[in-house]
Amino acid sequence: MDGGSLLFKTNHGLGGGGAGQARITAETIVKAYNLIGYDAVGIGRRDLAAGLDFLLEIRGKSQFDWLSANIIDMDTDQPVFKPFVTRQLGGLSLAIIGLTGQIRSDSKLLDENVVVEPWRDNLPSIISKLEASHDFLILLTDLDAGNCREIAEMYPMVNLIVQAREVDSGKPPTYLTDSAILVGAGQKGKHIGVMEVDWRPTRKWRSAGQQDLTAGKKERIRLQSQMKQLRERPELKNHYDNIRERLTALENTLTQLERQEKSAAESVSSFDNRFVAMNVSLPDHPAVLDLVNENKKLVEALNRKSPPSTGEAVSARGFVGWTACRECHRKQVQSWQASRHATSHLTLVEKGQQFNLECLPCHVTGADSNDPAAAIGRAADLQVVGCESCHGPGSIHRLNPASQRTAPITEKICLACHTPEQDDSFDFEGGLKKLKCEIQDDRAGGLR
Amino acid sequence: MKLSSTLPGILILLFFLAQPLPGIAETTGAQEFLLLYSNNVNGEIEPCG
Repeated sequence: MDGGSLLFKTNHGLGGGGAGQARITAETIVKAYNLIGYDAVGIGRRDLAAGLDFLLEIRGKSQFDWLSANIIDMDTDQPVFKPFVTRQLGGLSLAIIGLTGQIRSDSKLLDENVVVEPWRDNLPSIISKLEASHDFLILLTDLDAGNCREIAEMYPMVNLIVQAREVDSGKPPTYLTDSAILVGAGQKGKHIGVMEVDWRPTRKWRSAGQQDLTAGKKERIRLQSQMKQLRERPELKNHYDNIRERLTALENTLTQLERQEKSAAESVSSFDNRFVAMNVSLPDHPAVLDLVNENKKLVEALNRKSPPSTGEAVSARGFVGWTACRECHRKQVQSWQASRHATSHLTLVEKGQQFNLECLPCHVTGADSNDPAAAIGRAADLQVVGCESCHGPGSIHRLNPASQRTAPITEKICLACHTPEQDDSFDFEGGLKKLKCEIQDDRAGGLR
Repeated sequence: MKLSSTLPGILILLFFLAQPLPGIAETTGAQEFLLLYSNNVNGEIEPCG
């Protein structure tokens, strides 16, 4: 199952040149999910970025259920998608409910007569329909943590919330209440969550006493720390004695709680949750690889045929290309040519990604992330991560090199592409030394 | 740059999930089950290069 925000990376609506490519990729993802055998996907706001009609079209091609209990057709007062699905597993009955985060009523992503209603309007009736006949309730949602907690507190029969949340990797499950936990596997498909559940009839992950025990243990550490400090201050002996008394009472309470918990442990449910990183060392599945290769071809055909940009293709405003830099900075350019920056576009070509608009901004000089399609077909000396990718556009500097210096390189410039997810071991100083094209700047305190 | 060697992305995720493990759950005993979950794939298919 998937918590949502599967298809797109934005919830503001697709615009500009990237819309066609994003739709192609979304369709490929759905084909892959069909192949894997997903059961259910919650509809997040990002799944509506290409509009409701596109998602309805996608639903027609999906062999899994798209779930949302609160996307409502106002004409019929009925949900547009399935609100929930149920599964029988080894004698247990599971229900999976989808809830979509709020979208403004004037959003163009939805039809005129379709709204995303607040969960308070829809969830109560669904819960009451499912609670008596199901042993385990799962919620798939892109609602924020505060709403998830409120739902868990209002409806103890909700046991697991898979939240579409913007974190890079999975974080340990969070207890929302004694009967509900919140999980998320991280974004961009880099991890999946694997949870083994041992479910008991009490429908609780922990007993009420467990919370008290945890709080009591924290208090014990605090009091012990205070006593340690007061021991060295005889003038505060009364205070010390008071703390010692409190600690003794707390120890007695904790002993009782631990005894109770030992006997209650058998009645509460338990889980073992882990995240599996999708490392590059894992081999590709042939059928999925075929889908991905097909996606690349479709993207290439789309963007090669009609580059979806109004920008000027060959040149980039203000950028002169590395061959112009070489006229004066021959030694630095020689050094740069030996670096991987000089073959950045080639790596895309080798992988058939040179028409991928998601890739171009970090592989071509002067590419505009707001209009990446303009970078398709750039002149050869811009189809690299060239001097100007780091130093900025060079046309003014070229006209008057002495007075119009280029801007200093800062780590921020590098981090625009060397993001943690793309390059988790990036070292700014080390990277500059490796490039060997720096000249110490004695005026601005930076490297030029 | 390390751009070519990171971010396995959904391609490998899909491979993993395409193994014999079922889509949502597999019974492993009387009241035990296994859940596999993901979220926020965000339209990601594969790293750039």
